[in-house]
Amino acid sequence: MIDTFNGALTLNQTLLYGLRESPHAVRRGMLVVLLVGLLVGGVNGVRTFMGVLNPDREFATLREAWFDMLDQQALAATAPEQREAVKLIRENIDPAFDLARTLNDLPVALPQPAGALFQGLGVLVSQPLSYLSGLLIAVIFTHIAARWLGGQGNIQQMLGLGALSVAPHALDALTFVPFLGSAFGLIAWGWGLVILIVSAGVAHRLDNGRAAIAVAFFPAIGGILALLGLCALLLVSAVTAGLGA
Amino acid sequence: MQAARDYVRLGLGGLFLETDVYREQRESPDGLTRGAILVVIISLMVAVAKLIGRIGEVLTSPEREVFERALYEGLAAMPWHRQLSADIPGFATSFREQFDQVSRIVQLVDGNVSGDLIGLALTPVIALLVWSIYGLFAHSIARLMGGQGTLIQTLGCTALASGANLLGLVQIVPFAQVAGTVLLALLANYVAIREAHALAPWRAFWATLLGPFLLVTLLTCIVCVFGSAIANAVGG
Repeated sequence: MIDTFNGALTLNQTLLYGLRESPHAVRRGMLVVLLVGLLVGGVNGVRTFMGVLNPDREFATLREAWFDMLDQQALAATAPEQREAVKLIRENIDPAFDLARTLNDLPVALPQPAGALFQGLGVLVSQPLSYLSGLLIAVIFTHIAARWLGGQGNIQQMLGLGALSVAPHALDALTFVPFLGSAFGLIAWGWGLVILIVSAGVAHRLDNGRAAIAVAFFPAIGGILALLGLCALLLVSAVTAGLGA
Repeated sequence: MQAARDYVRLGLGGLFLETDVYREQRESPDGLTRGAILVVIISLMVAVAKLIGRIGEVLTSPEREVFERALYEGLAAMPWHRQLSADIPGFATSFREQFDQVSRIVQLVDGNVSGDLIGLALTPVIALLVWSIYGLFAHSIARLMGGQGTLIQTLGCTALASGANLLGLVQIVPFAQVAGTVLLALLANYVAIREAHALAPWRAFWATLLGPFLLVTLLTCIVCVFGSAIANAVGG
């Protein structure tokens, strides 16, 4: 499993071609998803466990973040309505946190560490499935587009090879690092995208250009549709406002 | 013991979309029986896991009524609520009604342990029903598209798609979230229909998707017809 993981990260051609011909491609690919999911889920699970055990620290961090955001909103607010909204939210933040503390302190049957442990474990076991779910969507759309473009691979080959694109997401375990966290997330995403393109090319015997088109085709269609929808919405709002005036 | 090992192999083969297992199931003389048993075993295992997880959640969460009362009282004591109650006549009553309505919806969606216990008894029956109805639709469409498989072969192979539900076993851990089972089951059904009928990929694709599409359309029509009939009856 570790060899598959390392091979995925380095785009090892022997591994990719071997996986394409393997009758257990999906099983091997899913093991990579499981490994990465458990690694990231483990880190997130421990953080959840600690957070549930120390709610006051979590509440303090959240409260600080809210006030920082409101300070920025207050500086950016130009209209009186915006300033009024910021004031209203500011007045209600502390009562909202008091309510959250009250709800958190309600009595439960088992002692608090048991609840914290369950929540941490819940995060741990859910993470691989979360990656799998995203992977399936990406793989299904890429597979359809690749077949349109003349690809020859089957869905098992595409899924097994596409699963390797989850490997760089091991970096997601570091997204909690202050300032650098989002950079780690971005590197993981970009690296995963490159692996998905190369994997689609190997699975379907396509050149990298066509493989890139296969990967980007449906997201591009979705983006264009979203843009058109937004334009239509703006147009309707403008026409409605014009009629109202 | 050998039989148990066989079912584990079938379930995992279905989950990992292993072509050999699907072909073996197509050629097996007792594929239908094995398929039906597999569907029942997996659905029961997942239902038991879900029940155990639910019990863990209940033991580590406050009682629903206590939680709702504390939440309502907390919201009603907040400055925005006091201000709106003073400014808008009838706001407090309207807010209470909305809160109760949302609570009822949450309760309905979230379920409870007794609901899960009933579900445990019903799950195998529902799983068998869904499998056989889906199999019938998929088989008819696959035959229309030139498929060569028999109904028994189709059902035998599509039963392996229930292997995707094995992912639901994570629910044995309280607060675990399941994702991806529906998509994986669709992929498994696609492989099942392709192998059972020796269909070309695109034909297998349509045979897999048209069944659920027609079923959803049919159900939507039924709901619309009965919904409007009920609305008419209530409206007098």
